[in-house]
Formats: sequence, structure tokens, C-alpha cells
Amino acid sequence: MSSILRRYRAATLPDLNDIRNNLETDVLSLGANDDVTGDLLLAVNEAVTNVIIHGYGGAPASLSLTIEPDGGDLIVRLVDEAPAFDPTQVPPPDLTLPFEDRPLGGLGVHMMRQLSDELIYRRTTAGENELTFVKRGVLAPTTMKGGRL
Amino acid sequence: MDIYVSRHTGKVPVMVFELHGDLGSEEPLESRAQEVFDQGARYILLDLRNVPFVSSSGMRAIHQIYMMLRDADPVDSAQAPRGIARGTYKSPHLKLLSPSKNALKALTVAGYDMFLEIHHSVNDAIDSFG
Repeated sequence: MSSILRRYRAATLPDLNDIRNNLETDVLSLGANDDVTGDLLLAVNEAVTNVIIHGYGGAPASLSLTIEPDGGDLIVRLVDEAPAFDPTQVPPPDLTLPFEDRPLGGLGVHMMRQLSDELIYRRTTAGENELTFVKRGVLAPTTMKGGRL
Repeated sequence: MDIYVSRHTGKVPVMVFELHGDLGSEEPLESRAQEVFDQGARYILLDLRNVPFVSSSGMRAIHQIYMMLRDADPVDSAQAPRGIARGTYKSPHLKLLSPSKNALKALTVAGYDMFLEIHHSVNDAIDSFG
């Protein structure tokens, strides 16, 4: 089964609802269940929000989402042209602090990590940020590459 | 997001915030909560039945409301840190009503379900305050 590419050339915060709706449609169409879909909606929403607010300073953002099966794994790849930012390098929350005293910042990245089996960042040769969300073993055999069982 | 606020009387007066739409930012929820707090409200129920999605920004609003209400109650302020650490504490001032599956997932991942009671009946929720 081939990948699905969605390009958003001028995304702003009000577009998040449409972006989530498209992602939900695409992920379900590849055979993911509701639970996996919910995880990805939350995680990717946080990443796209960060790109729009921090990467583009609230200005219209150019970004794309690619959704593709890889064996039984499901991959969502977010690419944007904002200045380099690697969310995987954001320190995890200090779990030794009482919950209520933990800083409110960083919660979005925490959600991205918790709701993905793997979170991978790279700066592309074209100077883009590429953030990849991996959900392991979540696709039914019929959606695997080549249709093999 | 649309917010409808109503006052209910159980053992104590409870302000019910009926939220409609995605909770994807701090505003307008934080401002509305501050308004009713300034008018004397100390017990708030967030009705999440019509909130399909909660982001980290939305949870920051919930966190700020929780802190505002807790800081106004010296007894709660004293008990909360130890109780949260032990897993025995739930806020007596802020409670949630029927979050959707995705909203509950966000609240759970962030650990908010550790200190916020979740109810599934308006009457039971209101009666649980005070």
C-alpha cells in the first residue's frame, strides 16, 4: 500500500482541526485502530502546533505530513521549513518534582514521546526539519508491504 | 470553543463549565475561570462531554485553574503535594465530567487523572463537592 502525502502551504492554528481530521482519515484508511489513531492525533497535533507557534512565530507555516505503512509499523513524517529544532533533545520532565510543581512547558513534547513507540528527528539536506513518529506492529497483515501475510 | 457557565447548589455552590469544541488553547477557559473565581467561586466542574479533543495547551488551562483554586485554600495547599506523591489526593475544588476517549488519553498521559476526579453524572459530580 502506498503512502499518503498531505501538503499544507500556509497552515495556521485554526487549520489544526482540518489537519487532525485529514490525519485521522488517512491513518484509519491504512488499517490502524481507533486507539492508535488517537495516539497519533494527539502526538502529531502537538508537533504541528509547535511548528506553527515556535517554528513560524504564528505566521502561516509550510509543512507536510506523510503517512505510510512499513511492514506492520505505521509511520507519520512531519516536514517543515522552519529553523532547525529537534524536539527529541528537549529534556524529559523531572519526575522527582511533585507533579504540581513541574513546569507547564514541555508537556507537548512529553506527549509526543509517550504516544509514539519511536520519535526520530533529522535535519534534511534541503534544510528542513523532519520529525518521524513510529507506531510499531499496529497494522493488520493485509496492509503490509507486498500484501504478504 | 464555547463555554456555558451555570451555578448549581449541592453541599456547596458549584460552577459548572459546559465546554463545547476542542480544548486546544488556554483561552477562553482560563479567563472565564478567573472571572468566576474573582466573583467568589471555589468549586468548579468542567463538563467535557462535548470536547472531542484536548491538547497540551488545553491541559495547561486545566492545570492553571487547579492551581488557582488550590492556592486559595490553605488546607488543600498543605495536603496536595504529599497526597499527590502518595497517589491518595484528588482536588476537592476542581473535577471533570465525562471526558471523551481522546481527551481522557491526553489527561492520562499528562498524569492529570492522578489528582482530578472524573465523574460520569452531573448530579453525582455536584454532590461530591464539599
